[in-house]
Amino acid sequence: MKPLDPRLVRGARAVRVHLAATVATGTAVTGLLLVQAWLLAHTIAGATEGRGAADLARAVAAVAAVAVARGLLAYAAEAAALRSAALAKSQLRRRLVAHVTGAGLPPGAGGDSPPAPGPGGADPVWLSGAAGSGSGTGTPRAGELVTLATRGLDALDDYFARYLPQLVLAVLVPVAVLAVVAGADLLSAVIIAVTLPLIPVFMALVGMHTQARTRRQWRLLSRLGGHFLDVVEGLPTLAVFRRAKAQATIIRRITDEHRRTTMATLRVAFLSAFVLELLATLAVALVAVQIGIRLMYGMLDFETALLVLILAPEAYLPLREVGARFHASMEGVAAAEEVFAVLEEERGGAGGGTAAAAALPDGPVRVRLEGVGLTYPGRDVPALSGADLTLEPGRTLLLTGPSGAGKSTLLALLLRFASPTAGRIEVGPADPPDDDGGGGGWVPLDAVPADRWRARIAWVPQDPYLFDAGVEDNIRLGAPDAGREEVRRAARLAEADGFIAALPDGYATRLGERGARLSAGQRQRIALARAFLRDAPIVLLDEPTAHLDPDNAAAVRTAVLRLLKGRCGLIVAHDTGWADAVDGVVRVEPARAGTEVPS
Amino acid sequence: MTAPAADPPAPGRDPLLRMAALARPRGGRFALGVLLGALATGSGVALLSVAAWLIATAATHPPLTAISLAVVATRALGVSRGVTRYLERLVTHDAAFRTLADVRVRVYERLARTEPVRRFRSGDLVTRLVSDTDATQDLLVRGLTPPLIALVTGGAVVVFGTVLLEPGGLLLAAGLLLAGVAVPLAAAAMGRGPGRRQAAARGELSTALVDTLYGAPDLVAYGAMDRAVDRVAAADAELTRVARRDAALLGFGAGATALITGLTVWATLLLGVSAVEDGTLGPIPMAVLVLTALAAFEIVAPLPAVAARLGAVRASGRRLFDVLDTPPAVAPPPDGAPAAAPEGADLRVRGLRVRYGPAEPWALDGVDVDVPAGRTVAVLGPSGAGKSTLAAVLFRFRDPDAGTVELGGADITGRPVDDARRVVAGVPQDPHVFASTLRENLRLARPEATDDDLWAVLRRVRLAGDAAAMPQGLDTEVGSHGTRLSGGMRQRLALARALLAAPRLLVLDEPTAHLDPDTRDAVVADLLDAAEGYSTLLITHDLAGLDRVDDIYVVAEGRVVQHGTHTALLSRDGWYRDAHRQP
Repeated sequence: MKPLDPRLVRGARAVRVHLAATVATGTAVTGLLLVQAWLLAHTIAGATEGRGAADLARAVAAVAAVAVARGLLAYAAEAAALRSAALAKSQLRRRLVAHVTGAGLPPGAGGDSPPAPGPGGADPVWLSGAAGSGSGTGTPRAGELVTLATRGLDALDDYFARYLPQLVLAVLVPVAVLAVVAGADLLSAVIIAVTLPLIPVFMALVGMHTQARTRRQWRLLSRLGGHFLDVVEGLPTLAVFRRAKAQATIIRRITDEHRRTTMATLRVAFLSAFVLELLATLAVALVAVQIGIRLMYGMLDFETALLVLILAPEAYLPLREVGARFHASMEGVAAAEEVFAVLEEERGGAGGGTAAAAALPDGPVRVRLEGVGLTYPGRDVPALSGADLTLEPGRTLLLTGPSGAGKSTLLALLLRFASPTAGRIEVGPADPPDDDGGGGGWVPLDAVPADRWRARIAWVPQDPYLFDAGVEDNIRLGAPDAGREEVRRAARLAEADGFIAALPDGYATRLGERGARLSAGQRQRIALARAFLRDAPIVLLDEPTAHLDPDNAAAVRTAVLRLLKGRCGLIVAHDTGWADAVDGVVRVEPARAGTEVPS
Repeated sequence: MTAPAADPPAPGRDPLLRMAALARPRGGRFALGVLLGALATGSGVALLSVAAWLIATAATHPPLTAISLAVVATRALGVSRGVTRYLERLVTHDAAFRTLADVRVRVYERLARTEPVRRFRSGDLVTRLVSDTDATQDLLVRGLTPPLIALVTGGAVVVFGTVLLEPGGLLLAAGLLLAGVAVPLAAAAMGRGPGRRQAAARGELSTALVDTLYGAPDLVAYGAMDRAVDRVAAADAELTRVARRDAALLGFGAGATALITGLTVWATLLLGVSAVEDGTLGPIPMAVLVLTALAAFEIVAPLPAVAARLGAVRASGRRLFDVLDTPPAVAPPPDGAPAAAPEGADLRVRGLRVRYGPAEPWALDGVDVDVPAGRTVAVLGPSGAGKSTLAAVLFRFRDPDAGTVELGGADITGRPVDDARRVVAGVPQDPHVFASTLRENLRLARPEATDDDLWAVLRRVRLAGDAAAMPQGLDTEVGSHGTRLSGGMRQRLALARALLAAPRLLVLDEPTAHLDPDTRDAVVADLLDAAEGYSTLLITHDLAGLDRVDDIYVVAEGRVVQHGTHTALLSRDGWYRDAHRQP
């Protein structure tokens, strides 16, 4: 981990401005520090020589002026740093969101958004490999990304406001102090010049040793550290087997073991701070003793000696501060590095379609899959292989097969969440034009722009995602301009009107996080209402009635049959309970060809 | 040895004080840590004071003997500061870890007495509770010892300053109090407004992000992604605006500290110069006083960070003591517990009523259930019907509000919990698999079990083949939450554990909850095979395996709505037959 990541400086203009401001402030702080030391040495020496208060009044007043200036500078630097941090975080966050969603973002608050990917670019990273996991919704990474974009990046505040300014001072102050001390007393300058570089060297040596040691102990530490959580989570199980009481002793034993192991690590880890502190104070003590003795023999004047004594500790102070703030601020840097790692990830190649936007006439379409398969990158076993089927307007197919056969993967391919790695998917008009030369008007699915293709599809996933917004807005997902009456009609068709009307605020009721207010069956019917409102020629349904209780399942079934009427449908279901409601059944087997059998 | 349950719950007291009180048994170690810390900080200040005296004295060209003591002292202080600081950190961390062990045991013992299921059903709550417990360690190391160290050294410096020149000591006291107490507290108070405003804006952003990322497939499929991203951008702009505006408030602490430090040095200098002119102070003590003032502010440097984090630690403490102050959900049995353990294995539940609070609806409202000895009976119903509450009563996680639960003719609800659990075992909902080996997970139920016993029970639940195929057999680590096992394997392991406990009644609470349909039927079939011969109560929301049970109760809204055998219920109109008609 570097103290200053070049990507952070390159990526956000706010950081560059902040860095320049920090260097300017740091220079001013260093100057004030030197002036204050000189003023103090001058005044004390003057008073010792017997000069009166009136004689020294200007120097004393200057000390007050320096104090005020340092106060103002510290305030301005901190406020400016926090403002820059807010901006830099916003810029990083926007880049992250733009990257993972594949959407373009309007310019950031600072007007300096990096080039956002244009619409129709590659598909977002979260989709690749995610849709094959059975349920199509959500990805395990989504949670991590949310944390990263909020709390993770907030750790950058410390980095910008506390660490970077100290880093600048840690470079400027020792050099300036050394120059002034060298001008005043060469021998003291030599002591400082010899000890200063030892600090980073020793810290690096100790740090390397600690790291190796910590890494060796890391597994043991994390196992011991996680034990308490494991036991508290398993409390009901322990209680059932009458082991709850016995565990208290074990918790104490393991926590003590954890303490011993951690302390062994800390004894080494604290060495780095020890070396720093020891070298810094010892050097100051050496300087003090040495100038004291030379002063006694008249080889030095009092004012110079005082100046050197006041300045010597200042040379080491910023180094200690940087050391103390290193770990806290590195959390922010780690978060930023994670963001960069995400930004550098290859985007999946599922989008396409803009190059040779094939003309697909409006109206009903057919879809043909021939030997279609998908193997996710880095996996040996295909998620789907050798699927053959044709979707026709007005006809519904049932897709069955054991879990892991690739049923949901097939839906993901039709939704263009991924591109097949084998075989081909083609689409064509339901009524091929006569002048087509017998080709049937088939075009590869890849050639159709993804968003225009998806506009022809209504998808009801197994676990539809509902937003923390009103019922009405949730139903309007695919048709934001739909009127109130249209929404209600869709809800009625989806058998959802009844329970929506019974909600406290009817159609305006907020559904809570992920639709927590509703049961699984009710969520399913909201998703069906979305599909009705979308009024698309192709309907894809993923396990519409799995895990539902009888009442909800019956309502969903009624709505599904209504939705499929006259459209081109594909139902993915585990059991064959839907067989009597469809026009054909396709069975997929893991890594084997699927074939259509008449129902 | 356990932590003494010393102080009675005092909900009115500041949680910070109560958390600090948890460290009382380790008071000696903390006192040593504070002493070492004070020596370390004191060495730093004293180094400059002594050096100032050394130089000011040397300037008068005395004989070498006049300054030789100061020379030795300066060198000694140059070493002692680093050494004592190192020791202080070791001692306080060690003491804090020891306190953590006390607190963990105490929290755990309290949780074990409180009803362990309903309150902590959410995994997030458990995780937060554990990190709240660990926050005591943070409070002790970073929140308690630095102020105490500052108090000791600050006091010493003020006394020293007063000895040199009385007004000088007062000046130092005023400066240190302002920079060490007033400014940090004021800065923390000023930070609360921005903290609240930013938390609200951050919450909006977080919700927008969650919706956008978790709902991404739905958004993309319905062409709504751009709108969602616009919402994120708006929330982000609002948060950035708030944070930039509040930056002006948050800079106060840093500015005020620098100002007070500089002005105190200035005032000391002014005072010292006048005092030398008046002849009330010699030039050497004057140099010492000014340089001591210059070094003294190192004492209060850690305090702003302490004040800033106290709010978060206090919140942790409040949540922690909320848990510790919760009364247990199972009343301790009356003295002179009932005599003989029941002999029979037939369960008879009559008129069982349970609710989770005086204002809450009845979770169970007069339920009667019978499990004849050696038979398998299912309780079926949609989620929220009260099935899990029944399991909680049977496992003695909860006392019923009314009704009786008799096993072999004796009521188990009045008996000590572990007595009841000796005869009732089973698989609670979401059985926990511990991050340990297969063997340890099994022996939990019977620590004295031999490997032969374990293999026998694994064969019985049809897990022996999988277990034998694992890299280290019974010694295989199953991972945190048993992640290296499949869902079906975890259920089989949990049942094997229950069988090892050799109870008289087996309760299986939702054994199929997280299994996919393919494995569900096989798992239920094997579980019921393995439970053959036990009185078994199967609590479930789905229909897998119900054709094999002897009797079925359908429960809805806390009441039994249907009761009969599989075939009898199928021949009747009602919930059960409707459920079977669905695709």
